[in-house]
Amino acid sequence: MKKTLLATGLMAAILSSQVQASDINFSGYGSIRGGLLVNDDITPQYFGYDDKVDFKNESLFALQAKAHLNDKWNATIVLQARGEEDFKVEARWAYLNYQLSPETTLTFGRFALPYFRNSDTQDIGYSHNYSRLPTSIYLGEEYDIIEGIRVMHSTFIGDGDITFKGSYGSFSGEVSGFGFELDNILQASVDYTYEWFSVFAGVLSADASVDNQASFNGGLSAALGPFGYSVDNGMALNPGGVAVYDMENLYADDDSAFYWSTGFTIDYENWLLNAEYAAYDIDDSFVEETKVMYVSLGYRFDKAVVSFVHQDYDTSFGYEQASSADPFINAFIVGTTDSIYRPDAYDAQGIHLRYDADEGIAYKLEFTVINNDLADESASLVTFGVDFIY
Amino acid sequence: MNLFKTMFATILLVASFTSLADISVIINTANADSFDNQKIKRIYLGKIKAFSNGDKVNVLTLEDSAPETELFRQSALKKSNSQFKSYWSKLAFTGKGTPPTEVSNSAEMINAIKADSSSIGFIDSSAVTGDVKVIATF
Repeated sequence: MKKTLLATGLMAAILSSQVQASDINFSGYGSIRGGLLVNDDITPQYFGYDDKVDFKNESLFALQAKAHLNDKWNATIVLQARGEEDFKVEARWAYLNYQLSPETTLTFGRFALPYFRNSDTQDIGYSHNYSRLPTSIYLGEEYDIIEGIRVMHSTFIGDGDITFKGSYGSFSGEVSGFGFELDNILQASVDYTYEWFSVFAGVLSADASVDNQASFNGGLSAALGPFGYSVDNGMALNPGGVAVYDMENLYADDDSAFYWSTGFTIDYENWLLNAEYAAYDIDDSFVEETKVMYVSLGYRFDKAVVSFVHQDYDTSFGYEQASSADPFINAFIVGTTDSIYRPDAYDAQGIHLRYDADEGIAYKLEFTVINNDLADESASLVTFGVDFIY
Repeated sequence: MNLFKTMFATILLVASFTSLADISVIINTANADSFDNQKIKRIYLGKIKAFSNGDKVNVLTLEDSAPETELFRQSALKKSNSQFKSYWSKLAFTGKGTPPTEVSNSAEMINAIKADSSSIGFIDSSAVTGDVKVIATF
């Protein structure tokens, strides 16, 4: 409701009679991509594809309307329709920008939160040389978009330039069918660029709540109930009725979430080298620390870029939440943690081709082998598509 | 032998013609700011948004398909058209800047620069008139 009001308000501001039609600038981006897993002896989906050709999963269209209200203020809305969501139109971005000085910009409204270096451009296929930004880091989650304030400041240091970004805001929505809330999101990052080299570092903290307590309570009762265990008032009780575990250790209930990430880019004599690393966790909860990375080496020909990408998604499995004195409770927690996180770990190696066919049009082709750690199996993904801007 | 001579002469002619066709970066004659190649590059990459006197820069470009545009981007910015557009797509769709405004030909570029003291543009050097000030050639 909040975001609908915000989007409607901005749309009204953009289309209001105060702004001449000539001051509104329309532009946009999009992708049409098809793909499939070519080895059909495996059942799961990877990157949203299975063994049948699919054109919906990664296709999207976006239209941006930007109104210059005056020298200092502009209002922007980005309407995006994703195939994955049946091309339902969503106000992906809706914000007011205020140019405090030529170096400093304030943004108010709804925008993509830079959890990682390229989080805010991950939907724009044309902006990079891959079919999609490596999914180990760029998962494309609901909570990538928040409502809040962003401040951006750029300045020069010798021949290089440096950009600071800071954001404050919140997210409230649903992730994997459970209610999910991020409050007091504080994000800060710094990006330094010198001619052919750039380096990035960022941190983010927030209070995270996941509304899945009932499923932990139910899981514990189902697994250990037959042995006389129960959950009462947020405490796990052993067969003797003694409280042996505070379920708060498992719940994510206003617990502290922390992200950090770093990366660099080299673009030298047509050679392209990129790497990013990130780790994130929600303290005192069922969430295990996730550690993700990718490294990519590419070469730019006249109109084509070929990139080799290696990516890895892993979880720490520290089991700090298995802190009960009761071994059965701990076994349940370890088992639950494994069932949540073990299937996710994978690494993948892929070759991506970008071919700039025409102004604003890039063809993309990809072949990626995904190795699932738990299932000990590999899937081969082929995708082909067009990324465009206008 | 004659054929060889003709070929050689043609190659020379083409080569010299190519090297002569250069690009002039132009501003309003009233603009007293100082420029170097790095400043021009920063302006076209959206890293500098105002002149030294504080006026917001109005950045102009010829169309993507114009040979001058490609030559300017390649020599002044070290970017092909598609690299330039990829770069700007990251800024334009994330509230970090507005890409240069397109004008359709040299005459329009000169008129636009003449009319706006805070504008910057580029044209083929052969099209330069006394109405604008040249600050660099590529």
